[in-house]
Amino acid sequence: MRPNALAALALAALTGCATAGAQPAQIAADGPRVSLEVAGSHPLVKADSKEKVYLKVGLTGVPLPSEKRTPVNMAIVLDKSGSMQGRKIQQAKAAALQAVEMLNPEDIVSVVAYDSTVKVLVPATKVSDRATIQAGIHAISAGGNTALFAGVSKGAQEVRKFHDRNRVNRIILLSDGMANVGPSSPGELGDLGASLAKEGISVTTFGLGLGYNEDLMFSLARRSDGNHAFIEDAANLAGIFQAELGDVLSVVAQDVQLEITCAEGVRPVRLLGRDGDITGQQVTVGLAQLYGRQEKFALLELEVGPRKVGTQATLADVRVSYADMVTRATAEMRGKWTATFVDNAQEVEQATNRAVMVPVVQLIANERNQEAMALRDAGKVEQARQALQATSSFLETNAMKYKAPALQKQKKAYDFDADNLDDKSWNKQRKSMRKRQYQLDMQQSY
Amino acid sequence: MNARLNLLLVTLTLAPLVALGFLGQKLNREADAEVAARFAALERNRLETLRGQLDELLEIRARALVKATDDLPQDISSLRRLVRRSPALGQLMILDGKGRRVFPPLAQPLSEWEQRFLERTRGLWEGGALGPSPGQEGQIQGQAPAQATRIQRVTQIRQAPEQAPEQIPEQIPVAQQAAEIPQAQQRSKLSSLVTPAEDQYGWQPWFSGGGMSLIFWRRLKGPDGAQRTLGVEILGATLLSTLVAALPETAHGEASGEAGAVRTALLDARGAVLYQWGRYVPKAGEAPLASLTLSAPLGAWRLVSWTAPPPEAESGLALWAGLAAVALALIGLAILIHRESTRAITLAAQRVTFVNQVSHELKTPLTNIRMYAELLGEALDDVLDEDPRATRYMSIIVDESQRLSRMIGNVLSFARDQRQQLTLKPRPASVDAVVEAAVERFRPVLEAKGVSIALDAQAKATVQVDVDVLEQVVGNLLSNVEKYAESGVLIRTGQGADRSWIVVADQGPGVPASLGQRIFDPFYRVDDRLSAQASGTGIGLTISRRLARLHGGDLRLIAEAVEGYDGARFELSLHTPPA
Repeated sequence: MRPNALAALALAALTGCATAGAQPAQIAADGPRVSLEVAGSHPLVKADSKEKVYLKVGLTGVPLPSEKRTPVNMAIVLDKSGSMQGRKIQQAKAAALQAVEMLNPEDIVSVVAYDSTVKVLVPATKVSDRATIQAGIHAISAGGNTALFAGVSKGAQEVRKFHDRNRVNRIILLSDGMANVGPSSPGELGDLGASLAKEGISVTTFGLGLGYNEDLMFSLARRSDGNHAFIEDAANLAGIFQAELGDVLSVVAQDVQLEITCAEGVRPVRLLGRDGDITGQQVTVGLAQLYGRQEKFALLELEVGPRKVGTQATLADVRVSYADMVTRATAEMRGKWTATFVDNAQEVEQATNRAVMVPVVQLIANERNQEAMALRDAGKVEQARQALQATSSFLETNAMKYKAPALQKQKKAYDFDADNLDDKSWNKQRKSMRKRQYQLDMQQSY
Repeated sequence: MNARLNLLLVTLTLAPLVALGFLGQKLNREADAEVAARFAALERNRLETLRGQLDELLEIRARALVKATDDLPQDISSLRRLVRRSPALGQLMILDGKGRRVFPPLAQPLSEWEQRFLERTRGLWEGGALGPSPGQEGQIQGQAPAQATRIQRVTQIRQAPEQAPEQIPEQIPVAQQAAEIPQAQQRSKLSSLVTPAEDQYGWQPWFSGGGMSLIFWRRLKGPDGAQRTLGVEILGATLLSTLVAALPETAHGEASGEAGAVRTALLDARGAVLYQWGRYVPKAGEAPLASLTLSAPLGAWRLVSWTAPPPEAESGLALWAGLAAVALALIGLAILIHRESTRAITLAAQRVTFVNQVSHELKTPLTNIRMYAELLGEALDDVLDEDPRATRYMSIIVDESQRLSRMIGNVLSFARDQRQQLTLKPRPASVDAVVEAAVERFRPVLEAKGVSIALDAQAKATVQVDVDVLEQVVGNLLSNVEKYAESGVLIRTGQGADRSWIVVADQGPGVPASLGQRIFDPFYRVDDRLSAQASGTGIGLTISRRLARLHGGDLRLIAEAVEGYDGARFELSLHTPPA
């Protein structure tokens, strides 16, 4: 996603179209930790008719110098059920140890392991006490069932002990199995994620191997705004932990609230990718955190009512508030989308903002990918394949239209999905699809 | 014989063991039951403590919610922001004094989340089920037909401590089941409590879509002075996560299955595990040691615990050790007895063998003595005629040697019988001839004793018969007559198609009917008084019957007197096919 974000910035700067909000004056060295970019899909909108347009609100973290990075309060929750036995648990332990190595003495870490029951191996403690932490991690041995819900709850309890809005409060969950003790539906785990998110705790979920429930891991991560990854081979665990730590250690802002107020005659239809509240003209999206150098965005589909030719109108006002991790104060930024209504359809088409349309296409395709998955889940293999192929051509058309290699790449991935719907490949393919859907929806860096 | 002894010994060893084991087991079980009861009581106490902690947790949560809802903003958008951001608050609803919804607002667009929340909780705001029931408990709550299959409501009323600290908090459960469940009429002090209270709060469980969530309700005066009821939804997952965080976890660094290990679990209404901790791993279907239903509003859930059975292992071990010791002692004793008796049996067998061999060795010289005595008698017949003493001496030598032969014959037959080596050698002969020869042999002795002989011979035909056997049996019977008879003896023979019989009946003391068959047992004598005057080996009748049976017949006592002969009466029958 990173090249996309940069491309979007570049395009916005080049075209100089009706983009407002990200005023350069605000991105000073000691200025805000976040740059805001509000852009509409169509700077020029067709007049005198109802039009469908998209608004993109992009937020990019301005990286912090490493000595100023936000302290971390992290719980590592490891599945140590029977299926983890052998190489998997060894790799998981090694990865956890390595993750701890990446932390500073002032960071806080706890280690929780669960099988049928939960054990708090390392209660929340400062990383300066490395020996205790390492001993705790080394003590893990595999066996038993999978009390995932309880494991996460206990992990959350450890995080709460040093809970601080000025820390990155995070749980990293590694599981290779189906939750089978306590609540185990994606809905319940999603609810848990949502309530943790309200407390300012995000859950990153790592699914290891081919035995875990990707829907559960997906919704737990999504509702708490953590990351999600599918790790087929335990050997890659270390790399994934490193990537996750890279994100965690680069957090510049937390508790990001995005409020979009649509003008009269502009109806917010839906959000693409992210979840949010649409209440009348008011749209609210919450992000748990922003990472340095990464763009996270919200895409909103709008229906603009007919207006007269030549009118220039503000279609939406954007207000962003977030907790600045350096100043430890709440900062606020504003932006808006102003469009001009014209008569000429070709003119409208030419002025289309590719930097907005490319992610729009990506997320629409992503939605269709999820629909195809639902079809495959219902056993309708052929219909799923057709849906994927249709989406693939949709992506290809748009890849040509917007000259976007990212769409081309996504198309190839969908072609691969379509070829792997058979029973033998489906389990693995589904996990990798879920991971990709998550990555696109949530603009995950890895 | 030996098998019977072994069986006896095994029984003697096993019976006390089984009895001891049974008793010990019973005692043990009683002791175990007592210990288990004590453990269960202890466990129950522990569960009660946990329940108290959970009650407290909910109370703390309720107070936090009271605080969070103290100064709610007035405008809708601020309320929305608060609901979205505040970790203490879940989804919120506010109803006015008439039960009309104030928030989420009635006449304004709602977000998707709000709509879903209202769907889930329709019965609360539409049916007026939120908060304390207005006096008429037992009323059936309205319910959205499409979603919740079952709505249960348990209300718990507390005085808000800030408002009325003097009032003791009191729990009043009001269970109100949905339409399909008959309404339980519950009496409670609800109405009396509701009316005067200014500010009340409580919890109520809410079931929708198969899951349980908790609703915190609070009734208070709004800023405009009007009564308001507000409800905060705590989702099942959030609630459970809070409980899990507060409950203990499995202590680490210890292996499972250790004595004293405990497993405690929080179960939902269906008995599924919500959360569990502790090292002990109960077997599938193992009954819990203690079980405790949580207090309202979590009355659908319960705490249970299992524990490894620690003390009974010890006493069980003692019991089994004791039993093993007794078993060892008994087995030792049995082996000792077995060895002793085996030695005695071996000794007896050796003795029999010895007697047998001696008898065998005696037989040949005896036969020679008898033969030469008879020859001598014949040779000296004329000479001896002149001296009656010589004749008498001669006949005594012959008679005694005959008797000795018979005895040795019996001993040898008995020994053969013991080794199951008795065989028949039948050849053509006349029964009468054999019987008459025997009678003639006994005639001098019997007549000397004053016993008259009546012989009625009716079995002249030549048949297949073992002459030696017939001779031996008849000899034995006559020998008995010689020993016991007093005045006379009748010997009668008869014959059928393939059967011959000989009756020997005497006049004497006879055999008491009560003794019957026992006279055929080896070494048995009817009467010591009698036997004191009689000599013999005590195996004559035994071996006679064995031989008769071997010969396809029998030797038996006749019950009735035969023609005035009322002493001992024997009938020998033999299978004698025509020659």
